[in-house]
Amino acid sequence: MFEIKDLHVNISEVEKKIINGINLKINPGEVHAIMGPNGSGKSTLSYTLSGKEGYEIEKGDIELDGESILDDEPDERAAKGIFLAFQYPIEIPGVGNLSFIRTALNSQRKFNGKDELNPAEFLKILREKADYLNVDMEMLKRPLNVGFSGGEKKRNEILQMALLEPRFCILDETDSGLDVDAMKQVSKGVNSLRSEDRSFLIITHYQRLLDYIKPDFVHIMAKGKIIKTGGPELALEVEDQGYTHLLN
Amino acid sequence: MVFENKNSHWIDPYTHKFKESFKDINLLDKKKEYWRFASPSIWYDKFTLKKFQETRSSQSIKFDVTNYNFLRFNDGILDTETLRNFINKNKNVEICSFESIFLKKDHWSSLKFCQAQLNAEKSYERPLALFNGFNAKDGVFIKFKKGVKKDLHIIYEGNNKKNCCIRNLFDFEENSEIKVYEHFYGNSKYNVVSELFVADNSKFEHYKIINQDISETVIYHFFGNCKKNSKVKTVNFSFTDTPVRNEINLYLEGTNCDATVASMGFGKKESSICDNTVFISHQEESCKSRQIIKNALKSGAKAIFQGKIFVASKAQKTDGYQMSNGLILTDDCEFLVKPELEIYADDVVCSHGSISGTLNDDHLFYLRSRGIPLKEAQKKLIQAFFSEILDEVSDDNIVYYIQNQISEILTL
Repeated sequence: MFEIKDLHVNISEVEKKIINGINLKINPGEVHAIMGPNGSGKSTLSYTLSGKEGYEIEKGDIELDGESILDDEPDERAAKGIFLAFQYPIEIPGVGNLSFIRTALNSQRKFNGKDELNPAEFLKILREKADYLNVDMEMLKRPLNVGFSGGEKKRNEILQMALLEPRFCILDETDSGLDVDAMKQVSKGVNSLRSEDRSFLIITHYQRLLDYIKPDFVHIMAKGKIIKTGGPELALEVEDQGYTHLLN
Repeated sequence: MVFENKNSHWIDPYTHKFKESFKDINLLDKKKEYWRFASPSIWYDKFTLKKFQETRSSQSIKFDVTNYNFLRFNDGILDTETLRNFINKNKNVEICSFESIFLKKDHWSSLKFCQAQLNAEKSYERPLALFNGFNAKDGVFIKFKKGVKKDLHIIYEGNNKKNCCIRNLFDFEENSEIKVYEHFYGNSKYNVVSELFVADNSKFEHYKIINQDISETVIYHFFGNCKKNSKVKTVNFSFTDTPVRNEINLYLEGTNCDATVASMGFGKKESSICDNTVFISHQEESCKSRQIIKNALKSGAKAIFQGKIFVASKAQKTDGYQMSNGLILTDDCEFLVKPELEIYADDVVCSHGSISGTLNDDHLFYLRSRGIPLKEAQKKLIQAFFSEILDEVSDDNIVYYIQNQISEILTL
């Protein structure tokens, strides 16, 4: 179970408080969506949960299975099963995509006391997942995200998710920059990863992504707080009426 | 000493000239252009070998040359057995040691000897190359005949803390395709001058690896004259923590020449200086040149890049590019850069840039968000920083060897 308790966050660089007391409990197998207008703190929340430097926790706690992860480094959080699919997956010239994914997978296996995969074992698993997610193996031979289209970058994120098999996935505006077909493909990948012991937190501006990835709960976030929680119908309400009436 | 015993040889006027010019130079003059960031006295320590010996960190893993053509210098002296083997195995190549040209009256090299160096001296003074001119004891003079395609590895081993003054001359006839790999190991001090003459339509690739276990200073001058449609690439890899100066002068004297100078240095101690001083002179039309310099620095290490693109008035349609990058891993390091363009033609494209910084935080976070621990993520990004230089290497075995060297340094 993943739990956020009365979380208050400052961005240290600008000394600005962005998150003002969030409480959220996500049980295994559940899909939660967070929607909200620009500047409501959605991306700050995703970075804070995954441990990015510069996000100072003023108060509150983040727990995974009842244990605080606040002191864990980003790589330790990842190895414990937290995965952030980035809104803008970063391009890193000179880092080979394949070598990066294999290092990530083996680092997590090592952390969890498992044997590392040799290149042949890794390639076998990679091929299976890449085929299913319609990811071109040629794309994987290129430097990490360099020259990838928006759709390729997002598919690469989902492929990493499929290989790393996290327990808690944060999807930060995964629909941004995607056309309808790419969104369908990415959603298909996400849906294939839904399981009883894996939970999701989907951050989005729009209801359209939730047509393809059906959430169990929808939360509306504004000014660093969750101001309303409901079922999938809440997303439809936002789509229909916008955020203004909820903010008022 | 070779020169004292060979009177009236064709080489004497050159050695005399170099000796006289060297006499007039004040090696401690800090105002000298191209020596402001590092004094020549660092490399000219009047045959003393004390300062940098403590920096020897580990034995380098040596590149296995068994299956290649190779020549070996032991403490600056050419191993004649490797020379004999090379002669026996290779046709269409004329080769001799520097010492042996004194026995030959009309050697082919007499028409070329020092010509590339003298060309370079027109632009600015190179005191340590002058010093080499009257102190070189050995070297290799090679002529690759028309259409020859060959790879050659030259190994410089130092085991007895010697001062090694080496002088090489490479002459490539038309349509030849040659790759020369130079490997430096051990505890000797090196002053090497290589002159290069690339004829029409020839292709020359040159790779120089200054390995980790080098415990003394290295200064290497590379003077090249390039004729039309020739292609020259010289790539330097420096892993030592002693001062290394890599001086390159390429004189593009034919049309459509293509020159690349690339260098990577990884300085890890205060004693480390990686100095690349590069001068590319475009003398004819439609030539292209690229300079790519990358230095990663930590714990007080210093790197220098002085790069000039000179374009003569006749050299229209020149395409010149120069980029230097410093990866500053600790605050106490310096990357000193002096990029220059001197252009007298009006139809040219020339650009230069220099970027220095630390590891990118967003890149680090991305890697760590996938479970890669901090040190491993930093290692990946440092390797990535150098990847552009490795992309220049055409031999996979060398790429693998260099990658291992970088890896080994990063795990220390």
